[in-house]
Amino acid sequence: MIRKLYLTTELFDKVYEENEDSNKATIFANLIADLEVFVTSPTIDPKYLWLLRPSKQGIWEIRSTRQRPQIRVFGVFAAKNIFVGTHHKLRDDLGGIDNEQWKIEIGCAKKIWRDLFPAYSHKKTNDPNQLFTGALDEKYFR
Amino acid sequence: MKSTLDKRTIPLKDIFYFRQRLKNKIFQSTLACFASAAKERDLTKKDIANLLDKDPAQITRWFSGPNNWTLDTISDLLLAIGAELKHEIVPLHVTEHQINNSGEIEESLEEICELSVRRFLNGTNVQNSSQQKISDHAAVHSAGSQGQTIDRSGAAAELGLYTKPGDHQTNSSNCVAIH
Repeated sequence: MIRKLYLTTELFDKVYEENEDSNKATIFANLIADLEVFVTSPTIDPKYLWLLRPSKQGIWEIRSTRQRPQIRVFGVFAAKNIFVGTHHKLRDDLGGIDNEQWKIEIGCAKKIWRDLFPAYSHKKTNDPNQLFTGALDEKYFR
Repeated sequence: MKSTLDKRTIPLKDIFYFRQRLKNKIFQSTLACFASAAKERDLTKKDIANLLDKDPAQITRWFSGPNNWTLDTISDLLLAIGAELKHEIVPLHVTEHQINNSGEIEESLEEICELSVRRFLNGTNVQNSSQQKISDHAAVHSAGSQGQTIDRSGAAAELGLYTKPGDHQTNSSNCVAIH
């Protein structure tokens, strides 16, 4: 295990929810496998973990892109190699990169974090090496 | 997720999870191997394209995700990197044991606060009750009591990847150089 991943109760329950619908079951089974990448992968690719704009907010997304619909899991780094997933959205519901919905999700992630840890700030840096091991020599934010 | 070990049909969710997990493992290992070669030998994706006589765009597509990979893709990429895959098929409970006992990172939410989050652990999961202080040690040991945890004892098996003989780690660069 290289890194640790925590999910809020709501997100956790959603991810592990029993689904009669085989499409949903497939989507979330793939998501579980994709989340596991954060914990075990020797390297973390910016195609997988991306810092959202504005980068100073310190809100990241894990991208589960290998299925339709794609899923984005939003979250923050509590400490180096410790990521807390706050909530998720279907990529199709977020719209283009300049869509207002992204700001809403960033605000949502911040609020969830504040509610959980009112006295503790998450890490805010755009240097991936300060946040997780296995960063590639690539850009993780725009 | 239910047990994968009894003789009832394996739930679709488990089937898809393990399919994706295997793809991810091989993809991430290959990516790590390439990152290492890029750092040590200045190997680029363009070099790989030249070595394999492929369009560079094809190499970029390969590195964007594993879903279109075939066994030939893996072989070609690793050959171009100068590596090959060593593999071992192990019972599921062995990989779980290794994962749970592999090096723990020092930082812990335990030192930070009390909270209501649940720890995600390699496809299995550990629930911490609301406002209960997180203890990673306790969390790992409580994994077996979770209803959603995959039972990985018995005959079920999965592919384990490792760097060299005797080094059965799932979290290192899973490739070896061709000599």
